[in-house]
Amino acid sequence: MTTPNLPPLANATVALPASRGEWVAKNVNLDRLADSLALPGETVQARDLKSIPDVWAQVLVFQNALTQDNHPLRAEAIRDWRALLALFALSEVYARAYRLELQGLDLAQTERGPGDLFRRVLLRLRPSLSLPQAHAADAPARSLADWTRPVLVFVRERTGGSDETPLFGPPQLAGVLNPATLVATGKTSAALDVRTAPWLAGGLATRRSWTRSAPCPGATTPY
Amino acid sequence: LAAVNLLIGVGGTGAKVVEAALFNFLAGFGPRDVSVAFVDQDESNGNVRRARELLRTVEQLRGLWTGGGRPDRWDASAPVSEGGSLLASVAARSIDPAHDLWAPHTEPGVTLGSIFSANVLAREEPRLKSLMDALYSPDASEQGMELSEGYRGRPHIGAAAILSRAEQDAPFWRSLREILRRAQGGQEVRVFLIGSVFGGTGAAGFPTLARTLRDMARDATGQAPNVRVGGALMLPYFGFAPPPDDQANVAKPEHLLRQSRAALKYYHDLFRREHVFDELYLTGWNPPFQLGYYAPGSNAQANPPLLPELIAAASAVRFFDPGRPPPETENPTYISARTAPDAFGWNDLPAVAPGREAEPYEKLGQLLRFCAAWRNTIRPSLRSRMFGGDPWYHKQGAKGVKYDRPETIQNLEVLDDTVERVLEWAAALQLFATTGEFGPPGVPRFNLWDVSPMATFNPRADPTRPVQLRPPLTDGTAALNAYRRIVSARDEVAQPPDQTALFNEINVAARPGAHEGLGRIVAAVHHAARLTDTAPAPAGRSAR
Repeated sequence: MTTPNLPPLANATVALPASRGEWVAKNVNLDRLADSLALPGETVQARDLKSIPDVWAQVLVFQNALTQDNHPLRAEAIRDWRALLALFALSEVYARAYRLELQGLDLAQTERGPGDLFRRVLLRLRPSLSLPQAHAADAPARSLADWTRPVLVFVRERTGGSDETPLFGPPQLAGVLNPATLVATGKTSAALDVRTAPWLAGGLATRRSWTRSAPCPGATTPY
Repeated sequence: LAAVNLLIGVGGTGAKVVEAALFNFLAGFGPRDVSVAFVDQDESNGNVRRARELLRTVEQLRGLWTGGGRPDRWDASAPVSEGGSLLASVAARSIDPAHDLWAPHTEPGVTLGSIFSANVLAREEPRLKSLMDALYSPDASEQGMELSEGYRGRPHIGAAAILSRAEQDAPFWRSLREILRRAQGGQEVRVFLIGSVFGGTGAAGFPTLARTLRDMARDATGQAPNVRVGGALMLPYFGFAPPPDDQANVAKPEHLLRQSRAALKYYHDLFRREHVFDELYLTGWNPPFQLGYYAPGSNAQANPPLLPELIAAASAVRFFDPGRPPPETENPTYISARTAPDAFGWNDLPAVAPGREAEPYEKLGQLLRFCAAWRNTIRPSLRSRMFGGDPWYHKQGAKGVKYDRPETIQNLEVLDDTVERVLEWAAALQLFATTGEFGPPGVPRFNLWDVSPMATFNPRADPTRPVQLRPPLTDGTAALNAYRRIVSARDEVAQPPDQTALFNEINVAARPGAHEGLGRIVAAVHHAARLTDTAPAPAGRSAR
């Protein structure tokens, strides 16, 4: 019985070296090793998880949290994801409350501009993760799995005006459409505050409970 | 053509592993030559500074003592069997003496926002600025965070910052390009990166630089056939006191494991879709070594050497070794183990290959014994000529040396400095393995070496200088005791010969070989400090 030269492990699902003093590669799996780490029981917030060395870390953390059962941010990510999906699903119902605006970017554009450097970095580290549906035979020609063309999702809350000429407030960045999660929160999404959309009143940051009093409660009620 | 070897320490932890590797190289354990470089956004980082100083010292030592035509010279290129010396036989050199450290951004007050011209983007490319805001908080915690002292445990910031400057026309990158170009001429190029999973620069630069270097190495077909990229990734292995300000925008000890899990999952996904490393070595520790203090960056971050860094250095030595067997699996990830959780001996250090388990003991042990003998016995006698009547003094040609010659004075100063660095490093590593000052010791039963007769330990006085070497132990009994204790015996191996055996050897015959002046004495003492006479010759190198 040996002791691995590794951090504390809670449930070693990786094959540990049977003998000392040698480098062993048999069945070493990074994912299983990650799951085996003995984590302290402290509460984790998204801002504490900064360890992904990637310019797309915000989206990748969201994707991980959404898809991994034991991720510390899983509940938070599911709640946020559903809130963002509901923005789309209920946009007709709440047409008098807010308006969605989508703004696409082409990171591979050849036109020179002050954003060339940031675009180059985004492109170089662009993920290749994508939902399986993006690769289906009937997927659109411009595949959803195209990280070079992210789409920004803005919400403009109605502030007044008439039905014919409604007035809307400034655009608030709600998230980013992407190939891995359809839509993901951005760093500023926590401050999103759309008072006329019950599931966003007070903002994502406050994590208010979903309300059954809203129209279409089935779409916004936890299940 | 011999392979070109390049070792890059990324961040403070990476620099500390390079430091441990340099001591291996000094002991003659490593490839014939290796170029060394550092990457750290925090130019004043104490760990990086110490490793660079050691690199310069080793380079200077080789230049003064092993170069052709020198008045005092030992032959570090001939095989040991022909009189050559293992001491400093690995030619470790910086890729560029003036530019061996690359700090991606040296402008004062630089931030991520300034790097990517966030203010200009807001006016001229507002959509791109919005995407930046989605990925990085626009406030002082991310886009506005000053980067002069590193990335403060935020590798997602570091990844963007490093990549924004990678491949630019800087001397550091020109040197890297020059090395990689040799691969396209058919020469094998081996690049080994060392970083951590939990830090700022090290965590950010480790995968980012590996991906960038592999991209740079691709030929017209998109392949990089003669380039091998290896990496040592340090997992959590030490703990530190929490920052004084709980809200500080810095790395916190309680988050290390959680951060590591997220990072390892990221690596898992990344490596499934992109060939980044040909070999990856992981090292961590439980229970964590306790530093007992907090240092966010800059000079204050001069942490003591810790045992896992020596283990990781063994992975670098292995990666560069031309004689080891090829990996059994494609793009393997390696881990290692020790016999017991609370003990560590020579047989626990991962070997280069089966059958070569004794090498670390024999070579590092020989270096330590040489340092003890040199500092306590040989050097004082040269200084005072107090042992001028001893046979070795005549036998090894010490009597004919012109000690007041400026070159000889300088040579001795550099050798003395090197010896002290070896001993201080070994003493500090021993201290922080065994101390219970700040919590449970990492390795209560530390069975590699014991420098305590030659050093005073005081981890609480100045954490950046936890050991002080005592004056040379000129008392014969004390010197004999220090020499006897400095290397712990390997398991199931007889106690190594004592200092009497060393003198028995150097008193009898001059060390053969192409040595000159004081170099013959150094070579003789180093050779006589060996632990066994049966060291197998490393495969792939001539018997040395």
